[in-house]
Amino acid sequence: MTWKEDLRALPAPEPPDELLSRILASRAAGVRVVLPRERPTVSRRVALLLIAAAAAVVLMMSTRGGERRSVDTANAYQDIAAALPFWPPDAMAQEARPAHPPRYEPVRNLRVARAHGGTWTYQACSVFDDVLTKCHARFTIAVSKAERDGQSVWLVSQHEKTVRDWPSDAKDTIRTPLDSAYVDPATLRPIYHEINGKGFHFVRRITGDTVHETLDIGGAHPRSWRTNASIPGARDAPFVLRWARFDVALLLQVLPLERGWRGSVYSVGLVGPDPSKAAISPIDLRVVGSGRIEVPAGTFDCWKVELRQGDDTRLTLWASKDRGWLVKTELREPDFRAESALLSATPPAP
Amino acid sequence: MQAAASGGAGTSIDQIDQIDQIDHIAGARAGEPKALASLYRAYGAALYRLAYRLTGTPQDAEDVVHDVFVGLPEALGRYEERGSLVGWLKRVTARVALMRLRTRTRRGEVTLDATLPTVDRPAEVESEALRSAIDALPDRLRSVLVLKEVEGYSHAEVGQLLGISEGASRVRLNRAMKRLRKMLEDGR
Repeated sequence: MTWKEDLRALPAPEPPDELLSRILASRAAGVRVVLPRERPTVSRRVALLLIAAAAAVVLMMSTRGGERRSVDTANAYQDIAAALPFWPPDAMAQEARPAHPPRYEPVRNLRVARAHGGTWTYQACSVFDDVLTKCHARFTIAVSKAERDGQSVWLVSQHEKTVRDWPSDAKDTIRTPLDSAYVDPATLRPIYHEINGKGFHFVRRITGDTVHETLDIGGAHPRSWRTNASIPGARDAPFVLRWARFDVALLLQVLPLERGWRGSVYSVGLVGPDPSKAAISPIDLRVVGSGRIEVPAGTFDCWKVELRQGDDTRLTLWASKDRGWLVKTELREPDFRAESALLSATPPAP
Repeated sequence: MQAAASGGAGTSIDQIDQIDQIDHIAGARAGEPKALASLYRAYGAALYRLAYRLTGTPQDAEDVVHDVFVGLPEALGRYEERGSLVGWLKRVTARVALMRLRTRTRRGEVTLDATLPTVDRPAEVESEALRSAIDALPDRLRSVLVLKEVEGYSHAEVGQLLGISEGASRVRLNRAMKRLRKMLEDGR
């Protein structure tokens, strides 16, 4: 036999017995996956012609001038949402889609005794087309023991500093407002979250299975809303505040990560004025590998954890095996990559 | 289906299979679990092997096949029943596996599969060496090698699946072969 024949004869494992029941259970639970379509074949020459035609149209439109459409002041929701420092911006004011059911079982067997305080500072970089790299943001996550209403809690906060060098070359330092949450140490459920920004005050209180959201915006056109939404899942199940990296960081400390581990938690985003469109959906976590990761703060043996939200968003997290520290994150798109890596930690890395 | 299966004289096994398949496709399109399960039993293992060879890990292969079958009832609406079903399913599976590969980085870290005990792997040493050499190839080379040499796609089809030109597919296959040969020779 030639090695090419060997290649074809190479055995591959059989699918696990439970895969069919997992598929049928997902269908029964309402999970839907949009499979990719066959791409029509387009020759390079036709593609170039299409690109050239599109460029010509854009050029023509951009030189026509004309009046810009005025901002729709009636649409306060988008306006307000855009003022909030969520990251990445897909939490902002998008038309909510039907919630995707969790892919995995709810996370359980939290090792809450492993949770610990400290301060972790990260460098955030954006890489465009694998060439242009911008590392203009730093954020710090702080976790400490605190008390709220006579109850022991974790006080978790994050602040971020960005250097902006657009539209001109002048560098402006922008500091986003402090973002703080109190988290129940027994369940890892946030119970209170607050962002006090310049000209706005955003608060979320969680009681039982309900999030109560309050937003007040000052300035020339003051607006506000008071709204509630239900949080799915068990009342003692942990959840995270969408895109607030700090509570994912605390959760990672207590998850029983190991080979093959997987679990889902709900994330609670902006409820907005219409609770039926609240941005509450599961995030699905799965250990997909392990390895030694080198970051400015040191070298860490890590679990590589895939975080998925719906069909679109995939974030990769690296959590240190010894203490569950968030060491690195990566969001990958075809022509764009956003990374954050641990710069320093207090207490320092073991 | 029952009438056809109990069939009259002259109904060949192939025709029965064909009729069964048409029934299963119609049932799966309507979201019937039984029909979906029948399609899985017929093609699931082959699709899993393809996904495994492309992604290199059983966990990813499992998720790929899961996603393919969960999305199948809706996707079958686009299947025009002109080519073979298995060919169409393989193309869909390959696309899902390739999408998964694109979101995965392999810089520095070891995939989980590489740390699994070797009892999960083929027993023969030569197969193991070949398997390891394929796993060590970069994703963009391994995908061409698997699609062309294992799955038997033409370069034009590989190019279409990967979004590259036919020439690029040939170049990548050539590079994959060279690297594979070198790794196997170095390993002896």
